[in-house]
Amino acid sequence: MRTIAPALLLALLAAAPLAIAQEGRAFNPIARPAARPALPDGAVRVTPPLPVPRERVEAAVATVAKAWSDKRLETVLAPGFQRRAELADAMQAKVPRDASLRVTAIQGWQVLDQWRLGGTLVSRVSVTVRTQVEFSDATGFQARDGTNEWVMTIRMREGGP
Amino acid sequence: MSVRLRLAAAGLAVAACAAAAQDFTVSGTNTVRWERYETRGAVAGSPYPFTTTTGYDEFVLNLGWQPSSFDRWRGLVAGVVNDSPYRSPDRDVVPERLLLARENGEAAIPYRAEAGDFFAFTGIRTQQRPLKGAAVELQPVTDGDFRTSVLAFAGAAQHSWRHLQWSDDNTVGLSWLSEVGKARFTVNALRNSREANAPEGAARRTQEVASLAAEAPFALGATAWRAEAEAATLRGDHDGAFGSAATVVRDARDNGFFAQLSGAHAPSGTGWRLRGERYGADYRPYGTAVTADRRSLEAHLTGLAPGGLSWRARVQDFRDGFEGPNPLDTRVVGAGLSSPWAALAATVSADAFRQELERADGTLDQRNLTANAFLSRSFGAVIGQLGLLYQRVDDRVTADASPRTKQVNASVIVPVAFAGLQGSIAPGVTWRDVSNAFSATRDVHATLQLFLSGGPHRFSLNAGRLSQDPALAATPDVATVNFGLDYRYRRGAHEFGVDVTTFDRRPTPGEKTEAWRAGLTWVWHFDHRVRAAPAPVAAVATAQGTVPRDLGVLAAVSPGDPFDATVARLAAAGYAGGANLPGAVAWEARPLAEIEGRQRVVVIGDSGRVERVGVIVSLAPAGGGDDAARTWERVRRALIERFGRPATTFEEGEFGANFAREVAAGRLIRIAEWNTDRGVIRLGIPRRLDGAARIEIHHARAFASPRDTAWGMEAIR
Repeated sequence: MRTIAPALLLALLAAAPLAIAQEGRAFNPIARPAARPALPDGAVRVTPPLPVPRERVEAAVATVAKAWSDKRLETVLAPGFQRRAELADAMQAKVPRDASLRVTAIQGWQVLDQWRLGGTLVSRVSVTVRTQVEFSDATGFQARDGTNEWVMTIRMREGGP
Repeated sequence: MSVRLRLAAAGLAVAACAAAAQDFTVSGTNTVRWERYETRGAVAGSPYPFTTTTGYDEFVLNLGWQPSSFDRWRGLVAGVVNDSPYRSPDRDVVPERLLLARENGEAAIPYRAEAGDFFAFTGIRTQQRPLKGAAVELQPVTDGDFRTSVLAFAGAAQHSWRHLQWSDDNTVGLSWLSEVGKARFTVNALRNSREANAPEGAARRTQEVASLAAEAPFALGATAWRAEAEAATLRGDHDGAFGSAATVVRDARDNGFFAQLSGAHAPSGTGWRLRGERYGADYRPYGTAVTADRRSLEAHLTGLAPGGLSWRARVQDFRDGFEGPNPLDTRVVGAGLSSPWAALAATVSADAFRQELERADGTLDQRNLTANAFLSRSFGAVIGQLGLLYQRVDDRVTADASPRTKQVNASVIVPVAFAGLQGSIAPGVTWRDVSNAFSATRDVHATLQLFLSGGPHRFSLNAGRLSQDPALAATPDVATVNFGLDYRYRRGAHEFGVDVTTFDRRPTPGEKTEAWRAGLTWVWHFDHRVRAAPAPVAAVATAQGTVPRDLGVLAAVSPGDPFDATVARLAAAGYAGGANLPGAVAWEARPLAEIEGRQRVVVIGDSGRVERVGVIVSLAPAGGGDDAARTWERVRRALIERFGRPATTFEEGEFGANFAREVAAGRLIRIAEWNTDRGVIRLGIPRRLDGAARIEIHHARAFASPRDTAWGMEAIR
């Protein structure tokens, strides 16, 4: 189905009040994935990717939420996470001490890339998560809703329990 | 099993495509309709020439499958099991629209492929029409400042799959588009072939069309500019000036040229457009909307002022038949404005243009003036509307052939609410006086409209009586009464409808015509979704930010947005003086800058949410030579430019002198649809109970099938 991408909608929203008319065929880009990163030595890409069970995704999301609430988010960040220090500072300076992150819904997920390495199935998964940050301040209980995309690496031992 | 987790990114905005991945969707409608048509008296004057009891079962099946975020399949099967001569010329099972499409960004070369009914578009001067066949678009290079799209297609221009004849009228086309930085270059090549047409005596006709187009935006100080040009050439056969197979021209060669320089100065709110076109007498490509043997020059100036005032001015010069011995010169000077009038708590719009028509041999020499004004004022909850029209034709060749037309239209819209229903009742009257030696008449048209909705109920009623009193004794007086009602009841996935339309025409002297139509409709909407992942809850964020003053308003406001906040956003963007109708707000605006007719932006609410946002375009003549068909083509091209080729199209019937009547009878249908992540943008000419024909563009969650043509904004007059 021909869907107008969110990016296009954002472009329309940002359009100047006076748009200049134009004619002729326009370039309508086809969405394509970014170039896949190189796999680790010895890894074999799985194409098409195998589905990741819901319970694995739920467990992974719960692990992240708990790490956030316990103020030890750095333990689950990937080694190459961009602006890692800035995030750590924000967690210390801006997040209330008693704040906790509660997952209210997992809207869906998609396997971005997948490979086998030494009997382990490694999946890079994009998960859309609805969250609620809960804390108390001088005016009482507070809750802040959010919708996030988390990109996770989930490792599952094949043939295991 | 062990799980190790690494969070690679957090806090990103939701990616809609991720949530939609791995979906398989089945949706559509099934419509069962019973109807009775009856005519008494003079059948020739009836919109329903066949007296019959009949019906049909119509189905629309949409299929979608998205194995990944970058790979999407789409299918469409639409047709009818028919018994009605009004629904289709064919009986039994009639497939009407078939489509299988795939957009795959994961292939080595990203492509977009369509088979079935697709919309062929290479440009307004080369090809712009629905075809039955196949199209493939490849995008081999999309990185950096150099992007390329190659479009190839082959299809037949046919209305029916059952009678599909490839050789009747087919087009094979290739279009190469490259963007270098912000500049764009396009090369198009097409070949059209039409088989010999025995009944009309024409032999096989073929033609080749090629064009080269370029455009580039640039900035000069605080002004933004865009320069565009296209040169096209045609070689081959065409049907001649009258579009008839009997007047075929063989082995013709001719060219078409177009250039446009447009710009805008955002700080002052001013925009301008200079446009020149020249199409030779033999430049007549099939499947385009150009006017052959015409040379035109146009200058347009538009402006926005604080307080919501928008104005425009234009100078147009056309020479038709410029390659022949007797060209027709048409010069148009016009200006218009629309603005809130704070002192009166009203909105006013006015437009006037002067037109000069001259033939070289002196057989035509006219100076025409047309002026119209529209005023809308609130009196508490009641809205009063006043329309004025004055038209003067000075014919300098034919004595006593200089009609003057004066028209006054007044109506009030009174909100009504009872039994949980809300709506409006709108009585109105139009008085028209035409003074002329040959066609003087004095007409009075009284109308009454009622619109109610609430919960599962929607009810529309329109009644009108037109009394025509020509001055000439030989011309009969005519009294015409129209009545129509439409009631819909929605329960879950089912909608039940009753509609009645009557037509009563009584000439004195002459034979009267009494005709009516009644129908019962049952529509079943189905929407089934199968996901590998859990279905998302409603997580779409409310649209925010600046609302554009052009067609972007359709995408900037989405179905489901909070109604009051949306109205506030539009007000902040400069939409001022909106008429507060029951459940809707309508603004005089000009989202389509190149269309001269009256335009309005409308937001309709339901239970505190935006039910749909739309643009209404009047089809009244504006003196520039654009008839309804050409205005339709221009509006559609503007949407294609904004949203790309339409996902689906549906066309039936042809534009003619009585196109409004054809629309009202359901015989002229024009639909084009674009899918958005919030619903569907539909462009079309809906059937209205008052019989008026106008172009409407809606952004709503979903629509009924194209054959259910009563989808317009009935409450907006």
